[in-house]
Parts: sequence; structure tokens; C-alpha cells
Amino acid sequence: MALEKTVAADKIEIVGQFKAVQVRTATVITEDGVELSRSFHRHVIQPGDDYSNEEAEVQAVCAAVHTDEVKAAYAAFLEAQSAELAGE
Amino acid sequence: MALVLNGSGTITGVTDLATAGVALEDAALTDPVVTGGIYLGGTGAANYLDDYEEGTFTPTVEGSTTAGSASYSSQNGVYTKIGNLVTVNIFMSYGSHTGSGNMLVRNLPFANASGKQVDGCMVTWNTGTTYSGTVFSDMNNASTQLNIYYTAGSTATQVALPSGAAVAIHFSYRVS
Repeated sequence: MALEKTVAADKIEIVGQFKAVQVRTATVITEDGVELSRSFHRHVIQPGDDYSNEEAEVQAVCAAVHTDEVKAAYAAFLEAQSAELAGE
Repeated sequence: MALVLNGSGTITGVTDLATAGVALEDAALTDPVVTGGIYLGGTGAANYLDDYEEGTFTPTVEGSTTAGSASYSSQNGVYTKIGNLVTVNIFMSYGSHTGSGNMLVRNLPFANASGKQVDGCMVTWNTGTTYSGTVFSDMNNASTQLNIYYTAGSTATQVALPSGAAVAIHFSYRVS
């Protein structure tokens, strides 16, 4: 009887105009290769966020989609949105 | 004729349930796996349910001027996603914080795609801070961040970052 626990990003999604990277991390417990349980933990990486502590695959995705143009566009969007809210 | 499916079961020799004489009320489904989505109440895009998921996330409290960091005794977030609607429940308690400015709750599990900021319902209690009006939150478009407000008369004011707090939040928003 061998219990094994694995933790890995099992889903990486790129969503929205500003290409937010949504990462789902699955924790899977198996016994002799048979899955006993699977649970999910999520986090999101926005343009401009530090992703240096992410898994290599996640880092590669972020590097590909969070270009300087995307980061600048997202920063401008946040600034405009804040100004709009301040005017309410 | 009764049809019973379980997670490891298969159907053989039946291509049409109606022809086989199986009425829907006779079918008992146990742990079926649907690899696509299902249509409920119609066949339009608005009737299509393509995702269900539940899990956890790790919310943070930050300041709007200086993000800072908190010393948490509790830092728990759970979510349920049904179609494009995500509901989160958060409980955080911290004794000190190095940030400054207004109170932000960050690191929600999905980016908001509501097309505009959405207002949500919030239940909160803050140690060392009291509010005479309603405390609520909203979420900016394309963000994973909640802004926290309280009402004073007809004015909504952002809550200043408490040095210590216990806060519970229930919030729903739409995602892509």
C-alpha cells in the first residue's frame, strides 16, 4: 500500500483583454496508483505581477503573454478605472 | 426499465433511451462524468452549463498606498464556480500590518469579467474599528481585488487599512 501526494498546476488559463493567467493547483492523493482525493487551489497572475516563484511552465506562459505592451495597457486601464471611480 | 449509471459503468447496446423504453424518471445517475457541458431548460448559449468547480485560495489584506504585509492568524478562502459565476467566502484575521492607505482584499481565485465593477454583499467585523453604516465591497473590472467601503449617510467611503482586524466576506462575481 503506497500512498503518494502530488501537487502541481494542472490548469493554466489565459483570460480577458489583459491576459490574466489563472493557475489551478491540484493536490492529488493516490494509493497504489488509484486516486483517493483531488483538491484545487487557485491564484491569478495579472500583468505586472511578480511570477518568479511560480512553476517553470507558469513562468513561461506569463513571459509569453505579459508583454510590455500588455503590462502598459493594463496599468493604463487600472489608472483610468481609478480616475473614473474617484469621479463618482 | 430502469437505467442506472455509476462512475465506472458503461452503457452498451443502447443508442436511444426512448427506443429502449427508459423514461428519464427511471434513470438514476451516480457520479456520471460529463466531459462537455449540458443544456438546461433550452438549447441556447444561455442554457449551457459547462463548468463546476470548488476549491480554496489564499486571500491577502493589503494597503492601497503601501501594500505591506500582515501577520495572519487565519487566512482562508474557499470558492465555488458554477458556470460563469464565482462565489467566494473569506475569513482573515491578523494582529498587525505594515501597509498603509485604504483596505484592499486581494488574490481572489479568478479575474473579474463582469465588464464593470460589481457591488457585493459583505459581512465583516473589525477589531479596533467600528462603522455606524453598512460595510460592503466592490470589485474592479479585470481585477482580483476587492475594495472595502462603509456608508456614512449617503456617502460611501473606503475603509482605511486597520492595523489589526478580523474580516469575513461573502462575494459573488462573473468570470470569463
